[in-house]
Amino acid sequence: MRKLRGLMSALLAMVLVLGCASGALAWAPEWEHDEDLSGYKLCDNFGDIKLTIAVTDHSSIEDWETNSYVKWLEDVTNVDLSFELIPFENRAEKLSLILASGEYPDIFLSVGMTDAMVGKYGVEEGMFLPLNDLIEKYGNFTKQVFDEYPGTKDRYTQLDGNIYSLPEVNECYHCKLATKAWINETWLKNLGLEKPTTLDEFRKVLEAFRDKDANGNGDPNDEIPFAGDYQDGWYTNGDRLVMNAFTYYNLDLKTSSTTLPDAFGLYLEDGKVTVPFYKPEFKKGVQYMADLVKDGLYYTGSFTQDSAGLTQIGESGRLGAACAGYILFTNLGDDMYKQYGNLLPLKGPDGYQNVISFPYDATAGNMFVISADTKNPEAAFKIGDLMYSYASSMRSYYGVYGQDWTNADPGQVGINGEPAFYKILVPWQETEPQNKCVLQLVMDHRDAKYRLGEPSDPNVDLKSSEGLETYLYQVTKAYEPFADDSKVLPPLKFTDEENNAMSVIKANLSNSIKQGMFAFFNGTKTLDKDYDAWISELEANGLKDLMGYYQSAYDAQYKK
Amino acid sequence: MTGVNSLKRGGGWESVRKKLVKSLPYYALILLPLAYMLVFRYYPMLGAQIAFKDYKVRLGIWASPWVGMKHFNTFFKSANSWLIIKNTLVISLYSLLASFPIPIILAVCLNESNVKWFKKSVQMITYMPYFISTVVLVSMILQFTDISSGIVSQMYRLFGAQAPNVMGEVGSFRSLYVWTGVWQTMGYSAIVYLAALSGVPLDLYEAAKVDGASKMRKILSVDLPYIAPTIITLFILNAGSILSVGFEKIYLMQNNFNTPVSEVISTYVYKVGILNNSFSFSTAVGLFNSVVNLVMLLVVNQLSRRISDVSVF
Amino acid sequence: MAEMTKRAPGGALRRNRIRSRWNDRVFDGVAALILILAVLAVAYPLIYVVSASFSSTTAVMAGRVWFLPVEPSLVAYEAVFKYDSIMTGYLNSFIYMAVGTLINLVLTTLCAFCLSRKDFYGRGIVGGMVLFTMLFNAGLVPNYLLIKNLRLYDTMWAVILPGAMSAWHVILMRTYFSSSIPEELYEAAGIDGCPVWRQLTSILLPLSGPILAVIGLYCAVGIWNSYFDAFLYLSDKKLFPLQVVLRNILILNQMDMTVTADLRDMATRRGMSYLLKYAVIVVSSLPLLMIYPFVQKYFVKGIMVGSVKG
Repeated sequence: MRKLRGLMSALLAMVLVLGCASGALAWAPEWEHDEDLSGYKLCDNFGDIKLTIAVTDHSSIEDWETNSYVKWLEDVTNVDLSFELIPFENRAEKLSLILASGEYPDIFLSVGMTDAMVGKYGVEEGMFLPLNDLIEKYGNFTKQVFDEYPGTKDRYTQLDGNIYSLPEVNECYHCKLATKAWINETWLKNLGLEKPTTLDEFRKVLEAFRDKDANGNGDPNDEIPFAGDYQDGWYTNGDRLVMNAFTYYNLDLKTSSTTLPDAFGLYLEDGKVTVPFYKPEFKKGVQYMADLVKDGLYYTGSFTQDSAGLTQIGESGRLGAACAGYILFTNLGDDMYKQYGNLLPLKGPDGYQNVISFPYDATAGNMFVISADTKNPEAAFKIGDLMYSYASSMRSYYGVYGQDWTNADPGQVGINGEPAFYKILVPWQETEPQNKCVLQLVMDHRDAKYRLGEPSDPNVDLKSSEGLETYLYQVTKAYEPFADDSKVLPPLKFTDEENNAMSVIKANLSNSIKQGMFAFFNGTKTLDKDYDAWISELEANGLKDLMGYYQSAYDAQYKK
Repeated sequence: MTGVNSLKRGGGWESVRKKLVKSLPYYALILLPLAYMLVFRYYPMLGAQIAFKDYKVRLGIWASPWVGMKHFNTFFKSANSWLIIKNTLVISLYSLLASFPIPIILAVCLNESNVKWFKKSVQMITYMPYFISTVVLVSMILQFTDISSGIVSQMYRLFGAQAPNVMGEVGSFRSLYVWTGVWQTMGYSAIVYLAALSGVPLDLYEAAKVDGASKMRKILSVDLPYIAPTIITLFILNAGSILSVGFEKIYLMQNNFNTPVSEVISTYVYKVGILNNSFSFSTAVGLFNSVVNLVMLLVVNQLSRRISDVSVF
Repeated sequence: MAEMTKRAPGGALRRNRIRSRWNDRVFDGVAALILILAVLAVAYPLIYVVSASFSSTTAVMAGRVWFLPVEPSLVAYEAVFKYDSIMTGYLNSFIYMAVGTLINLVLTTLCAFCLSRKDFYGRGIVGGMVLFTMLFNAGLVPNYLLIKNLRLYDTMWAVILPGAMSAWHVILMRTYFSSSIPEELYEAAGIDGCPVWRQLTSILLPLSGPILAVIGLYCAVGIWNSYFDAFLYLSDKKLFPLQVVLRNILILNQMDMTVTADLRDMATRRGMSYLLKYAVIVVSSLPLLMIYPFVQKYFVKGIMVGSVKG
């Protein structure tokens, strides 16, 4: 009897040891920067815990269930993951509907959840799980992220004191100062001109572009000095360049810009929520812009075309200058692309010089939300926390260690000049569609160290397609001195009631602002005659009320 | 007295019952469609009550609190609501009047053609634009009307004139929207008229020929009257969609110049309702839409019944 | 007297005939002209779409394509077809289209037939019910909840059933039945003791070729082109119809920072997206264009042979 019990215990012990051992062996650190993830084994047997995750689907991913990254997640955690796919196009509508239906998956991962949705379904209706305790108890990597980015924790704490969502860490350095401007340097050379630094110099250059044969094809009339688009280009509004030589101007006149503060020009001045419309400098800037249009220096087609139209002008060799996040109006890396160089912010007649910045986007989005009805809150949360590790972030974005990426070679240097963080073996776009990784469709931790740690050949041709990130890094550095981050409104939280009231104001007000601005630029309205009426129209549509909502939210959340 | 009355009443009910029983075979046949409608159309309509409620997910459709006309008020009190309704009506009527006659003319001309290959290929070619998706159609519109390189302006330049910035002019938005719509659907819509025309009994043609009628005369007195019920029915049905101007094409064609005429109910509801997750609001506006459509339909239907004896209802 | 003048041989009648023959020629000419204009108006943009899809990326980006392909290349088609999901997309779309059209035709015909019969007691009420469904739509949320509650979510039926019978089509069909099939035919059959359902199959169906072809075509096209229902109610990639697959591919190639922050990659794709949208149209509409000739033969004059004589 005793012998049997002894045997039994020995067997049991063996099984336990083997079991633990096999669990710990499911995955072990491989890369030099991999963290220790042994605490993330969430259950003993694979499939004991099952979680459903809603994600954004994308054609470049063959199959989420068999994806290598997902398999890695399952190896580390032992959780059986299944996915509810939301197609990328019209994602907002489907997400809205899922949220309104009441039947939620366990986790919402990178589905484009807006702040308003968190306010409504989290705070107001209690459909999301508060994460505060879970973060305290289990959030290793989450706490690291909060430490690395001070202010984030407060931003993500909603008005009821709970945290319902976690941000993605995506420190796109060049995105911080994405409102760049570009000028055709070949044309400048052809005409013997210097790159302009003031607004008036810029104007003279545009006049030369307009009148002379800048592109050397024999026809002096086919050049378009300065153009933009207001439909789908990435920061291609030309008016930003000109207006920021007069006053702080973050107004986004894109047709689809109807809800964010920059659709209304809202910014901070000494703690007060302000708009540029009342300033005399603003009027001067609008007049200057209108004159550019009248004199054929800013292309009138800019107001109606889309980025395809802008690209057509660029790629066909007729574009002098444009604003954009990068030289998107030509084909990357080809001859036309190489003709352009960046243009630093211009100094206005009164000496004002500014570039718009986006300092709050490093940690952004509501990437990770857990349903309040989930049966496995702890497991669900730990998966999110796990995604903040570098180990996860490398694999989710690049794929399998050893096949798609590996340790950096000694001596390799990153974009930022520091030792490289890793080395890419196979860029994923070449083998598409693929099943190795899931790109940016999960939550991850791609901070500056990571992104700028991408190995970069110090001799790379900046104007080639390989050199793009390095080129933008350097250009962005040059813009930094001109930005004033203190003027940017930080992200604010609103109640559902406030959101509802504001949405009606916003729909009408954004139309009024944009129609008026375009009419002034285009010459259909003039400042002398129509400006006051326009201001009255803005106020009638709720401009002051909107500013009031933002001011009280700002005072409550930031003026401590 | 009472006896006679009760007999009459009894007679009334009796005959109803008899007629129902006689129609049983029809009810048997229509059972499947009826069941379908009840499940997939009528049952969800009960959910439309959220237009009068503040829909809360936790509570569901039935238990959410009533708020009466609150959402309707939000819509009507908003500064631009009448402008938006007017825009929708104008675009819709313009569309209706422009797009109505053309498929008919096309179908009649096709029907008259005796050259088989010509007829078949014209039919097929004109039917193709229907398959160009809205996104591509709008991007082609933008490209063709571009003032510097678009083909429209190049044509103007051929005649020495300055091309108008079509997309930048408030006045041209409606025409552009309507006529590109006609272009896209005329071949497709002509098909139903062609089918109706193909049913004209041949002996009617024979009779017309004997009477020495010219083609024009034959069309006016044989073809058109024969397909008149189809034409009128389609017209009435279209009238019943008067407030339903589609969303996608307008949204893509909107820019900051044309919003005074291009902001319609569907785009407005998208911006305020969907983007803001306010489903009660969008359902309320949808209900308003439906009511107006219904009124329009009844009016046109009655008119049609008086004039032509053809009616949908 | 007048009659005699009309029927006078030679002279007057011949003149009438000549005039009407000339009138007819003019008419034919005008009709042909109208048709040619229609074709030209339609043809150019269509040619543009096809040509652009067979051109090179930079040619399309620079706007150099106007009529014929510039720098012909199959680059766009290669990009589209490297996704295996296209094949499942085609297959799914075919299945949905076939099943959906069949169900549609059955339901619509049953309904329209009954509504076209004057001796169907209660047809006014039922007709009104049908019409009502055309006007009042419950909205996104109740429909979505219905699909979920019926456990149809993420199945083929969620794409087919919501659109399985359209009031518009029912009314069109009913109009056709009422005006093309004389009541006498039914009465004759009724006297012969033919039951109602047999009247449907042996009288109605043989005479309804054209309208069945039209409604069938409209349903088929509608299902083939539909995106919204599939997008809302499906989650499993293996069930996606062609339109959803193609739109996903298209969107993939448009610039979006939320999916990838690799600008290099986005920039290369962006160029491709200019071409891709045209190739996508060609790929998705080709099957429908190929089936059209088969349906066309129903729209031929003189189908209705042998109408009632006395």
